[in-house]
Amino acid sequence: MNPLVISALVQQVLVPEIAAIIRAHANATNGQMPTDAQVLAALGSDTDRFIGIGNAFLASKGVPPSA
Amino acid sequence: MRLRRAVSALVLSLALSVTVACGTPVTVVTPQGKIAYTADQIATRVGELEQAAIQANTTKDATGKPGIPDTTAIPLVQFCISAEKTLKATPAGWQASVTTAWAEAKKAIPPADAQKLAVVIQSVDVVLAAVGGGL
Repeated sequence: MNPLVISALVQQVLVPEIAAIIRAHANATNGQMPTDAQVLAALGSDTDRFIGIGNAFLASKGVPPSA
Repeated sequence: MRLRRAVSALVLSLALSVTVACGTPVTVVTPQGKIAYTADQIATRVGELEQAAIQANTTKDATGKPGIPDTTAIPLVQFCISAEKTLKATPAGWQASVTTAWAEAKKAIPPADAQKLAVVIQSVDVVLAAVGGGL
């Protein structure tokens, strides 16, 4: 592959993608690392949220909620 | 556009691999916290798969056909709910059941639908592989 193409790919695609990932992480954590209590709480709330979203989708299809 | 998607998938995979491979943040110090952190990483990836499947199912193309049919979306969402429940109930012992269920769920996805969900499928594979439950 042409070095100019690789350079353009790095500048136009890789760098913005990596910057977006870093920015999203910083925004999500408010620049702070999580504590034990926050991680334990996050596991409970994240799983509950996804279970709720999934069961709402199943209900919209007339499928009983997953046991 | 396809190249951009491929590179995005690669970057996402690398980011996930690094995130998980580097272990838990230094601020998480107890064994329970470390276990919960890993389980939450898996729960988040599985949740992204669930949301992508729902979005693909509810988005219609020009002919009114969904991106992926109910026959693909419903079993995938059922797998996701089951995996989330296992991760919540047994954050230290989810690996065997979630990995086996994921292998079964993945096998049941038709190739054309798997292609549409490739990025999220890959992210679940990567995160499971990184914690030793990979396929």
